[in-house]
Amino acid sequence: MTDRRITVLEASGLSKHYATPAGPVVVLSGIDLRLDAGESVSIVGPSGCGKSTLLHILGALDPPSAGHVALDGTNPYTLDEKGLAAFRNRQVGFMFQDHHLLPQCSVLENVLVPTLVTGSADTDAEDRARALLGHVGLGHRLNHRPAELSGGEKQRVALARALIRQPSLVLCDEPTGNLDHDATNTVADLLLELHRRRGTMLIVVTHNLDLAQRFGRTFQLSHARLNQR
Amino acid sequence: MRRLVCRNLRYYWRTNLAALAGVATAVAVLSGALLVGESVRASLRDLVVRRLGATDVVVASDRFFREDLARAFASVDSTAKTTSCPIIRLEGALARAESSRRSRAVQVYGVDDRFWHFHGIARTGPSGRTALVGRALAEALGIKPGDDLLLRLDTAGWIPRESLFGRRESVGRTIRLTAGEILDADGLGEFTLQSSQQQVLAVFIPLARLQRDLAQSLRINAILVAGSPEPVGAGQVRSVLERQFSLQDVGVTIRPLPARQALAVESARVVLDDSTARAVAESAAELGLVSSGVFSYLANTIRTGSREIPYSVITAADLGQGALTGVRFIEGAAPSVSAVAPDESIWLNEWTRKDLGASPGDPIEVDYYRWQDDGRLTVETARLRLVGVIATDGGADSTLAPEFPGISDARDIRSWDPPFPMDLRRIREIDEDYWHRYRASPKAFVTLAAGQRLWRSRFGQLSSVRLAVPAAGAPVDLRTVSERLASLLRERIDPQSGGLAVVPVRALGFAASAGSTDFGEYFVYFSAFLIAAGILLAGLFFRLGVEQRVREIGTLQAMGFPFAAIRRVFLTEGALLSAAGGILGVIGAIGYGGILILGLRTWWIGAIGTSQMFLYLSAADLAVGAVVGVVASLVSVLWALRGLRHASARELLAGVLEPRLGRQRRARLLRVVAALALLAAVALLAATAAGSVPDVGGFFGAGVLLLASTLSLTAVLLRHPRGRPITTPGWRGLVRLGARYATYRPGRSLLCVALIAFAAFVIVSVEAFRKDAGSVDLSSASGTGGFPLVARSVLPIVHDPNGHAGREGLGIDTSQHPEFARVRFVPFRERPGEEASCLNLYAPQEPRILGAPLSFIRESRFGFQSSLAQTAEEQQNPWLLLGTPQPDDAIPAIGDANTIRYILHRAVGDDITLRGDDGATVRLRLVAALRDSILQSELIIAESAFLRIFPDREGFRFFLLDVPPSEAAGLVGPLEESLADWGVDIERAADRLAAYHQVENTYLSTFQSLGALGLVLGTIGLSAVLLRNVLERRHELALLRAVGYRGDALAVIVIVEHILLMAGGLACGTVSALLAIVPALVARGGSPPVAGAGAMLVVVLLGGVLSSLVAVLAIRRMPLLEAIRSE
Repeated sequence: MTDRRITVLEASGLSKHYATPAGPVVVLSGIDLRLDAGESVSIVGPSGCGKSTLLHILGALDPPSAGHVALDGTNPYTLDEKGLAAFRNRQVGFMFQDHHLLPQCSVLENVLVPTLVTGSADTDAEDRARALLGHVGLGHRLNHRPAELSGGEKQRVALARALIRQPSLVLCDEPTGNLDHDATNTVADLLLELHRRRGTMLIVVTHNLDLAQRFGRTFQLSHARLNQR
Repeated sequence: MRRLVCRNLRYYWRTNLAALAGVATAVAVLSGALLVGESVRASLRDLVVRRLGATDVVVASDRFFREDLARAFASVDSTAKTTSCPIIRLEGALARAESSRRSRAVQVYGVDDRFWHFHGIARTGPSGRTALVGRALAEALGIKPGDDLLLRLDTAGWIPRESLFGRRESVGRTIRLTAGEILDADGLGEFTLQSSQQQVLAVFIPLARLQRDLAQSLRINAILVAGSPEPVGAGQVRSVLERQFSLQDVGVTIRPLPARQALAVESARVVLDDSTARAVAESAAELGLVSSGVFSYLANTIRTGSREIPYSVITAADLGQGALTGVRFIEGAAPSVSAVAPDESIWLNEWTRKDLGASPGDPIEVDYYRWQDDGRLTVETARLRLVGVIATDGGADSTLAPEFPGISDARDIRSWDPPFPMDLRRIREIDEDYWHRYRASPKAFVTLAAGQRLWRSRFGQLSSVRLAVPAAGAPVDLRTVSERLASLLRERIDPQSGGLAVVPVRALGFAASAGSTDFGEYFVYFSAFLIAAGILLAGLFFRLGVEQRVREIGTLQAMGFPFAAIRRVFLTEGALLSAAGGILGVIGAIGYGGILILGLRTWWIGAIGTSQMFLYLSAADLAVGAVVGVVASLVSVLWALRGLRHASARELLAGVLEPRLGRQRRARLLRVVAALALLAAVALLAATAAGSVPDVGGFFGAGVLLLASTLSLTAVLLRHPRGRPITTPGWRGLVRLGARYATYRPGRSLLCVALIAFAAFVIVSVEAFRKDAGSVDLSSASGTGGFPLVARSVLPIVHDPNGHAGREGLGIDTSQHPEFARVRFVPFRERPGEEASCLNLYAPQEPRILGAPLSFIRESRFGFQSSLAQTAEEQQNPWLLLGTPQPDDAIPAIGDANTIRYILHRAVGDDITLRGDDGATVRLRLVAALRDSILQSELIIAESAFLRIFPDREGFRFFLLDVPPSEAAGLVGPLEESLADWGVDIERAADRLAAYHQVENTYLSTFQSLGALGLVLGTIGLSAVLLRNVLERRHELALLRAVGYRGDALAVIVIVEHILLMAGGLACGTVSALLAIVPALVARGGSPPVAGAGAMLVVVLLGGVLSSLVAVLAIRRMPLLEAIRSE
């Protein structure tokens, strides 16, 4: 696995609009954002304000209509399909509101899924996965299937999966949206602890203001604009 | 609830449409297959109607009878009308004069205007030498109107050819004709009284012309009878025949002998058959007449010492007794008072005694001819002793001899034209003097018993019965007595045993049109996989629908819906979909049935041999298919719902259909099933090895059990995947991930594997039974019996084809064709009948019978599949069973295993009944079955039994030819040419076997084609499942892309899953099938059916890979963000 670390995330002039029969709908407009290594931010805003869209653009999942994203100086949208896939695999860790675990795979295998397409030997991947699962408190349920886990446990597996490739940037889209209060706290604690330990950049989209306040900076997305609170 | 069902049906329309398509497919295939059966039956029935014209019943004989008799069957009353038509019906060989092409087995009809009128066709003729030619015959020989034709016909008369006075040298006659109009089927160009779907080669020639050429003026051999408006019954015709036939029609004559105040009852056949002789004796007794049997024969030589008399009539009769009391003895006395044993006694007339210079007590030798059953003419000698002398004009005159054709009416002995060799140099002047004075008066006499012992044949043992008015009675008018005797004889003689058979051809044709092969049943078998695929697919899609809505079910349960109510919702939906599928399926059935019938008429014509097949719609068949299909679909809905009862609402809400514990429990159960099936397979193989179970059944059963075992094992693996966690990056990891995907919905995956496995099993196992039409085994234990050539003749051959004289008589010229000397004929007698092989679609009512000579039986040729052999000798040569008497007098018969099983629907040990020449029922017992032989068209009995039940069938018409294999092909043409007068057709045994194999192979091709179609359905189902899986997993797949999986990595995962399922199915099916076909593999020398089946399996695999690309394309087109958003 490469040691190349992205130390800076820079987004400038990002905008996104969708064509609709009623005319274009502007979701994001003139967004600028910069994160340094080890920094964590949260983005809050009402439903449908474009939080997830911004996260997808930053995570190289969805190109912006205008503007520029640079992860350590590299604009992922200039990469070809192969390069883009490799970039996402190596540098970005995702955690979604819906965990998207593979139901036919065990907890351990789910965490290891991103390592299967590395193209090169990742000899200590299994050890890391076990360690990560130990950290998230699921070391005793390695061989369980997702259907046998609670919602919080599934999100913890998803967190471990997001971190297995030791990404520099971790993007979480409403990671606790489906969880109760206790589970939310557990997942948030884990997220922050692992973030601190690994020094990754962390961006969490949430509509939970309490949760948002636990991260270094908090931004409000409203009317397509991003403002720090 | 109704609204919920409607909403569900509309919302899940894609899945529902797929399920509906599955039901429609199953119904279409099942109903369509049944329609084929009905269509074949109806087509055969139509063919019977078209080919018989108006004919309901035919009165037919092998001999000629009065044309006038036909009038007796015509009647009209207020409600019904019966019409009749006299014809001559013969089989012949026809050739164009300017061509060497010849068609044997041509149906020749002598007809006049009455024939067309009888059938309601407005036409006349033919006249002069014009022949109307059926289109099939015209096309076969390229006949055009105006062409000169040469027709070779059998000129069989009353006198049996195999009796001393039968004419062997001129069995046929060639008639020159001119081709007239070519008749289509509608114009009765295919007229035939036999049930066969094969082409009818018919020619119609003027009745009067044919009568003249055959010297049968005003005589015919068949009467067609038809009823209107209802068909006339055989009983009615029989009743008229019994009232109206004359003794002349059955060849019996009563000759008044006024000088003796006696009558002589004789037969046109020269010899009176036993039943007629009995009837005469009984009638005479009723009239108070005294009767005596007389058996006159011809002696080549009567000799004592060095003196001999050539060519003399010798009579066997009990002189001085009964009706022969008027004989005047000069010396000695009647046998009853002779001191010499009756069997050794001979009496000479005075003229003869003087000529021989013999005295009572002198030894007398009598040489006479006898035709042997194998066609050889031998001279035998009776050694007797003179016990008396009879006055030459003392009551033993020429009236004791019947009319010997070519002899009795000859002016002198040198003018005799006998059907046997004569040395005219032996005739002396005094012999001619005797002839001029006494004509055919017997020169010598033996007792009746002695004569019968010497000269009796299967045709009878009397030449006449002499009837005399008792001396004490008042003088009577012989004419009156003759008429009364005739009347009594007509009451006692069954016209049927006299050769006049009443055959209800229409009823028999209709019965036969039920078919030897139930094509409906066959096509249900052939289509079984298609039907199963349709039902499984319907079940699969129902299950997909259920799985798709498993959370919805959980929600409903959470809201308080009892499971029964939920099941009712799904069942109602299923019922509505099944009903709609059933309706669509009925429409599809008509299309499917139509395609199959089209297939039978074209691609698979080898199975039926006719293009006269049409689709007939049967409401019953359509309904049966629809009901079965719909019920099966509903069962599959229940199956789809079966696991839900045990899942909790929480599990269902979590999308879990089969909890892990349930999964493990089921896996354990399946493991037990797999083990038990495997053990059962091993046990069956052991039993087969021990000989307790037949090879074919044992291995096939073991194969099926192995299939069950491997599928159960697959189910276990799908439910309980073992192995290390998937941790290896790269291709291996992706492959393992793909494999893991296959285990997610084990039920679905197992269905796919099972579909493919069944198809592979069918393809491989069926291919193994395909017969190689190209090569043929000519070993004596093979299906050819080691005979490279088979021959059949239109005219019976009564010569010994292996003897010098016989070959000379037949025109087999070994000086011109030295290779003919190396041909050994094995002649079989034949009772013509219906083709009993798979080449005939009609169920044979009276199969063709062959009489096998003893020499052939002892040769122990051909291979046997099964037999009733008890002794080691019989086991070594099951042909010997033909000579083993049956406890209940049934006649042992042997047939080909295919004929016995598939055409006659019997087994070894079963009986078959048919009619003997005397009309009596005869029971044949099947004592052995030949394995895949060239003798599939007939049943074989021993010649001795044949002659007993078919005494009127003369000569040999079927031959196996033992020739050097390398010379076989080159012999066909020259031999056929040499034997053209007998209408001999020679066929290579390989070709004959190939013709049967073509039918079998066509059935197998049909089976495989429909199996492959089922496989296509299975593959489509597999693709649909895969696509469904992809759609269901779109979120997971989107996540994989989000974490860096490229499209090709996802394609690998999907393709691996697909290939694993396909390969699993192919492996389970192929391995099991290979075990099932071990006996067939051994039979074909151990080579598995690699070429045919392998190619098909590879195509299947490629098709599967291609279809998985559909799923890959779907993945590539899948919008990533929408999928991630779970929208």
